[in-house]
Amino acid sequence: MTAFDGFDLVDARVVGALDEIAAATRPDYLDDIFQVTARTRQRPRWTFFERWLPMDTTATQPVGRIRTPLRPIALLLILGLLAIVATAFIVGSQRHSLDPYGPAKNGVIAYGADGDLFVRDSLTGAPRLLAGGPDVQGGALFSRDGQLVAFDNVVGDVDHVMVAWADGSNPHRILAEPFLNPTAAWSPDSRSLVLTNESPNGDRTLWIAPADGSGARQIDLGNLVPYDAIYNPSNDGTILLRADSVVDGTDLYLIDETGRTVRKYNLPGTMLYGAQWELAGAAFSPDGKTIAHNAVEDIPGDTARFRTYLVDVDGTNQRELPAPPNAPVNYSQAWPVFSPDGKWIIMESWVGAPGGPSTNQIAIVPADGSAPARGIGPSLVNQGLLRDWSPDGTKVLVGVIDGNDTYEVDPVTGEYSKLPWTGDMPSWQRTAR
Amino acid sequence: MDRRELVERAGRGDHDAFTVLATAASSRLDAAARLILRDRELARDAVQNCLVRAWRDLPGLRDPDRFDAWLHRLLVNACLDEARRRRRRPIEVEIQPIDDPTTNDDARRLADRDLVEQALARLDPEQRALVVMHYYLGYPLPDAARSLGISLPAAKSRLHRAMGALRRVLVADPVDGIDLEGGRTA
Repeated sequence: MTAFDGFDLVDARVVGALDEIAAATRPDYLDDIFQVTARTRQRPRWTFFERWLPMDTTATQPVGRIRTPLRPIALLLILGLLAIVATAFIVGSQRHSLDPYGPAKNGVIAYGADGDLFVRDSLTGAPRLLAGGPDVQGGALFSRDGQLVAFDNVVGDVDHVMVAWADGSNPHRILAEPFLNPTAAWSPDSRSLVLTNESPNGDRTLWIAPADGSGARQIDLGNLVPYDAIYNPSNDGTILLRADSVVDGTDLYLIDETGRTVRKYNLPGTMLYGAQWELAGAAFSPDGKTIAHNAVEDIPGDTARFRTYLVDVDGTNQRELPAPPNAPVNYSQAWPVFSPDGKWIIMESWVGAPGGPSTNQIAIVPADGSAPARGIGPSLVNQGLLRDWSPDGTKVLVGVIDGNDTYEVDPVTGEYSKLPWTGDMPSWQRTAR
Repeated sequence: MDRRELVERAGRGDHDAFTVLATAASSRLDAAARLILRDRELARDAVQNCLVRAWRDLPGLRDPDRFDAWLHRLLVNACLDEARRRRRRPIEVEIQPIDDPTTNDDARRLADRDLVEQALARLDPEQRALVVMHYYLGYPLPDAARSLGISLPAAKSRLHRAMGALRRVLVADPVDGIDLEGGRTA
């Protein structure tokens, strides 16, 4: 009999001995801990949803909903009008057409606050209600064409993924199952989202959900346990998946929409913080040629640190993005977000052990790694930072997890100002120039 | 108030509810941390980090019924953090007082305790964490592997090595007449 065949005599003696050695009694230091927890602020619930949503902003590809005249006055007039409309539409489309990725004009900014979703026309504009009511809404994420917005809707204790038009109309569920520990990312054509979800018994699954609510489809991944997924900007239907396997551990995979593996990246890892964090934060460059991802690295004699690496989409040429000169050994930079033009990457950086005291700031680095990272914006103590680019690439938005403060940062000078409103991490709509 | 409601209240910022939950869990947290780290002060630090992180992140726990498993996962990660942080510091082995055995069963129990403690001392923290999750906290091996962030084959291999060390010392000192109940499989 082996250790895995059953509960044998040795097992029984080990269990008994462990109980003896441990001699579980109520520790006498609990009151000290409760004094600490009483002074510690809890993380707002939305930050957990936001954390897994890709923070890259979306691109606009005008759909052009045309209304056909319903009351013709005369056949000639109608034909003439249609000709004019058609000509205007074609010309307008040519003028305003945008790829799903790349710089765009700044649209409205959506964010959650006090259980409702709001939009502002500009960072300092007046708020308007986007989605409200007795339920709780949060975690807004605009589609790449800017026409739709996905958000989290909580009824009682159950979260649901919703999609509505960008003006908040026609909200509808796109996934019948409750949403647990989720990730969500829009497809380049804005017609669907790829979602990872967790069942109450802990099983993680991958879904593709059409935005029109016509029925989500679970993707069979075999023995892979999915953690998060994003679409390939090349719009070839492939998906970058971070998944765990009992055989191969955690890795990045490029899969098609049937779940078939197109490429396994075989990236090295340490598993120091487990599958939840291993190789996390993967993001595509806007041209789809490069992937940026986190790596957890061991620090001899100390705890671990996070660093950001680049790898070509074909799995070659893995290289580290350089840290600032003279950065301490426990300096971390992770959770990369490419600028809309693909030339820069912002990351969350911090010095200190995860879970312990830390100093956090946004770091910016050339996307080709040609210069070391440098800090921009506020440097905050013990504050997790979310980050995103404005669609035109001239601003960086920084959301503070504790307290929900939001900062506007100049990515060139590093200067910043605190915005006069708070909320969960905003999503900035992209519109045609 | 049932446990689920306590978790929900704590997740909504009710610190009193959290203290009830944490107090109820504290004995096993402290014991498990001492088993993994073999140092009372390090164990205290690990339990504190675990509970502070639990309080801070509790609003993100979507399924209140998974509170215990989530808390144990936080604890094991906090223990391994402590172990890594102090890797270059010598661990001070905690010497348990030896009770006077009054019966043969007591003598056997105390002998087992000493033998297992000696064997545990030879394991690294990652191996001890797996032994503690599986044999002390009672998690099936796949769940323990997931909590530790390792694959199931890796967990089996790690546990096999750990149990090999424990077997060697215990088989050299066999025992008869233990009444076994139930079963625990990987």
